[in-house]
Formats: sequence, C-alpha cells, structure tokens
Amino acid sequence: MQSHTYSGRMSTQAFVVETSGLTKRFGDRTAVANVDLRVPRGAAFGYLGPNGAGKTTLIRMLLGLTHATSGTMQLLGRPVPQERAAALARVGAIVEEPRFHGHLTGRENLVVIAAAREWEAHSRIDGALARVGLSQRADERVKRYSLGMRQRLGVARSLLADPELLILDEPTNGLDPAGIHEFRDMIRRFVTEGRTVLLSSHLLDEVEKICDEVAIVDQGKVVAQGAIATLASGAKQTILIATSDDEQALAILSEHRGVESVATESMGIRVTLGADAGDDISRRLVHSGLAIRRFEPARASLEQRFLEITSRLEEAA
Amino acid sequence: MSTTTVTAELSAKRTRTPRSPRLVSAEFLKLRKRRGLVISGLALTVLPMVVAYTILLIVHAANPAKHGPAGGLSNFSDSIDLLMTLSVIAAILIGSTLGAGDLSSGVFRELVVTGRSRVALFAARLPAGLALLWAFVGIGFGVTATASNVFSGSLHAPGRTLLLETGAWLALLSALSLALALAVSSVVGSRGTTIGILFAWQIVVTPILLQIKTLGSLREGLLGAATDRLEPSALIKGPTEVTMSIAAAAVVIVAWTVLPLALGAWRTATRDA
Repeated sequence: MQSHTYSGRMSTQAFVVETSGLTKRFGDRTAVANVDLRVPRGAAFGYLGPNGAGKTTLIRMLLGLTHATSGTMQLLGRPVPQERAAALARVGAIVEEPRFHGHLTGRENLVVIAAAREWEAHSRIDGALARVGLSQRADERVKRYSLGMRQRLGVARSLLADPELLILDEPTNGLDPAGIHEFRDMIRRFVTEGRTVLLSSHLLDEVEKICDEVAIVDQGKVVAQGAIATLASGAKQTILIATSDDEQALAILSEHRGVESVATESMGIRVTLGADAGDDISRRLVHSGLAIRRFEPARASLEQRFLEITSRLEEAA
Repeated sequence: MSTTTVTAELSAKRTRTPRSPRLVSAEFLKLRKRRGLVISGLALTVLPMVVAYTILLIVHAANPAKHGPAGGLSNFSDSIDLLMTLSVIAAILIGSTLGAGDLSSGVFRELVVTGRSRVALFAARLPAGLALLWAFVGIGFGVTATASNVFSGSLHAPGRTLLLETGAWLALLSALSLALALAVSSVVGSRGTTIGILFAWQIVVTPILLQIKTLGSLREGLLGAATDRLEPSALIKGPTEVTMSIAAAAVVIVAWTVLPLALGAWRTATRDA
C-alpha cells in the first residue's frame, strides 16, 4: 500500500480558486459570462454543465491557456495571469484529452514535463507512474497506449507538481466502467490527502458520486453553487406511487391542486409536488378505495435540481 | 511505501537550480527519439559524403590515368557545395519539427500548464536543434575533411586553416537555416507548411533573386548574399553575384536571425495553447 500525503508549503487561503466577473468572449459569442466562482480548499468541487456551457473555456483561462476578456482570477491565493508561474507550480491539470508525444515512452513524456517544472519533479516520476499503475508499461511508446492508459499517464503527469490543486476537465471521457470507478476512487484519495480537486463534467452522476460541492453552469453563467446536499435539497419533492388501480390513481392525482406533474412509469406513478401535499394525496387515494402498494419520496438528486434549474433558464430565454 | 513530499526549502532550491539546461535536454530528447528525423538527417549529411568518396575511390582505383585521386582541394570544394545544400535541407527539417512539434502533438498546452515561461520554452529549442544538426553536419564534414586529405595522393590537400574556415562557415549556414525554420514554424504552427515555404525560399527563390542584376543593391538584403560573402575564398569557383562588405553581411545575418526569432518567440508567447 502506498501512502501519499501532500506535505508541501500549502497556501492558507480558504479558497484555492476565486474568480470575479470573469468573462470570455469570442467575437459576438460569450463563452463565459461574468462568473464568480469560489472553490473551497480540500474538497472535490464539481463544475457541472451541459456541453458547450463554457466549462473548458473557464479552465483554460485559469491555466493561462487563453486570455480572459475581463474579470479577475486567483489560483492558490495568487492573482493570475500576474503571478501565473508561481500559482501553477502547485497545480496539476488535465485539460480535455491529455496529449503526449506518441514517439516517446510514457516515462520520457514525464521527463519532458518535469524539465519544465521544479528540480524535484524529476524525482517524482517513478512514484507517479507507480501510483497510476503504469510502472510496467512506462517504457513503451505512448502511441501504443489505450485511452485509459493515456488518462492515467495524464494523472501521473499532474502529480509531478505535487499539486495542492488538481484541475481535471472531463477526466472520465472515453473510459470504460471499470476505469471510471478506478478514477473516482483515485480522486477521492487525492482529497483525503489534503489536495483540492476541481472537476469539470457534464455527467451529473459522476459529479454527484465524486464531489462535495458543485457549481452548476449553463450558457456561460454559474446558476447555482454550494454543497451538493444543500443544492439537491432545494429540489421539488417527488413521490413514487403504486396502487391497486394506477389508472384511477392517475386521474385523481391529475386533478389535485398540489400536484405539479404526474408521469407513469413501469413501476407506478412519479408525482412532482408543487407544495407539501403528500399527506392529502395519500388520504384521497385511500378514500377512493385504492390499496396503496408504494408511496415513497424519490431521493432528491442533483440531476433533478440541475434539470429544474436549466429548464427554468430555457423557459426564461 | 513511498511518499510524495515537498520540503520547506523548495522555493530556495528553485531559485538556485537552473532549469534551462533541463529544458534543452528535454527538447533534444524529443528530437533524437524521432527515428525518421534522425535517419533523414544522417541520410542528408553523412551518407552522401560517404557515397561520393567511395565512388571517387572506386573510379580512381579502376582507372588512375583517367580519374585523379579521390581527395584533394577540388573534390573537397565540390563535396562541400553538396554538403552545404543538404545541411540547409536537414536544418529546415529539424527546425520545422522543433517549432511545430509540440503544437501538432498538443503537448504545448501541457507545457504551458506547468507555468513555465513560454519564451523560455521557445528559447530551449534552438540549442537543442543545433546540438542535433551540428552532430550530423559535423560527421558529414569530418568524412569530407578526412577523405580529402587521406586520399589526396599527388593533389593539393585542403590545409588546416581552410578546414577550420569551412567548418565554421558550414556551422553558421546550417544554424541560420535552423533558426529561420524554427521561427517560421513557431509562427505558422505547421511543419509541412514551413518546409514548403523554406525549401522554396532558400533553394529556389533566393538563388533566382541573386541572379537578377536589376535588383542591384537590394540583393544585399538577402540572407543568401550575406552567407555567400562569408564563404571561404578557396571554395569560390566563379565571381560572386553580389559584392558587399563583411560588416554589411554581418548586419544582414543578424537581422535575418534576430527578427524571425523574435517573431517566433512573440507568437509562442501569445498564441492560445
């Protein structure tokens, strides 16, 4: 078993990423609109949004890959781009698909990146390769690597910085289920070690399983931000119902004023409540002579909250 | 059990440890591991010299009365002409790979993410490219210099001064071509386009422009005219197309080196990664 603990000189700010009014425009199109983001230290933070929402553009600005049109950014307490070099010295990142020189081996690719980092980065190469399970294949050319191996090599490359902050942009894209599971475990271990992980993804399930906090982004704007449990609890109450006569139950529910929507499913009826009408609904069903076989609240999920928020935005637009 | 640790003295060490040599070493690693490039470089600089002198030796051995010794000053001059042209081609291949390799593979982005200065990343490329190019050109020149002396027989062999002058001139010429290729490929971001542009410019357009007498002193601004001016006199067979002072040649060479490299560095520093 390997033990990895971040023991570097950690900055003491409560937030490892802070942006204020961050905006990026490409001509007439606004990719990132006035984003105020705060990523707390020592957490797995999800940056969640549909494809094209501006997630990668924000990450690219944070990492100095492209310039912001306006706004300010701080990484590990340092303003970027003014102190970009010092800030990025303790940041590891995978942006989109990790890229390598195919004609070099995995180890040689890490040597190339270590040369651009502090002297100690070179001494971390073997440990980083071992950590992602690539020691045995490290001396093969990368062009022979599978996508999963490239992703793992990308993580190894990020670890050369002994990072306080790991920025991972859609890290599980293209991975098989076993690879995704392995990746989730790895991210959680990073957080346990005291590192902060900023994970961008369009996969709600992934963010919900990995992250402690989340920002939901849509059309370049952060529309909600906070702990996942807090955000999900703001979702409308949904109840799953099964009765002895679901058609009759459906008719009763459709006429109830406290019901916002009903939908039949293979296992019964999914009811979304506009108000706290659960008790009244159960009474009406029983008074109508129906036997209730199932009456349980659906677990409030981030997905539900996400869909609520984004659909509200679409309606507003 | 292994532990990833960072000590408190890191920042102090960081300032003491020069990183540029490691960047140059990494650039050199990227180049020397490209089998196709290494084979092309050797095939352009070493192989033709070996083949040329082997043929000269064979024909001399077969008919000494008709064909003189393989060595000597005249054959040295001819083989240097060939080596010069082929060194320029090798320089363009290496320089264009240096400038566009990280961009085409997507690794430039990964290097930028380290926080390392983009100008430092750019600056590391030139010495790495020169190390590989000069190794090739040096071997090719070594073959030529050795053969022209060892197999000179009754002919006048090139002296030490001429060999030194010629070696330095070849080194300069190849380095200038490499710098130009590095700069152009850093600006356009494409190896293939760079090779096309520079092959056309160096091998076709420049010689034609040098021949057009109506251009007059404008031709002094061409890199080819400046490098021709510095060619060792013992290698020059006919009248030079453009006459200019050594100082003017030096100014032209500096301009053709500094301006394109500055442009390449600027583009590397400002492009979206």
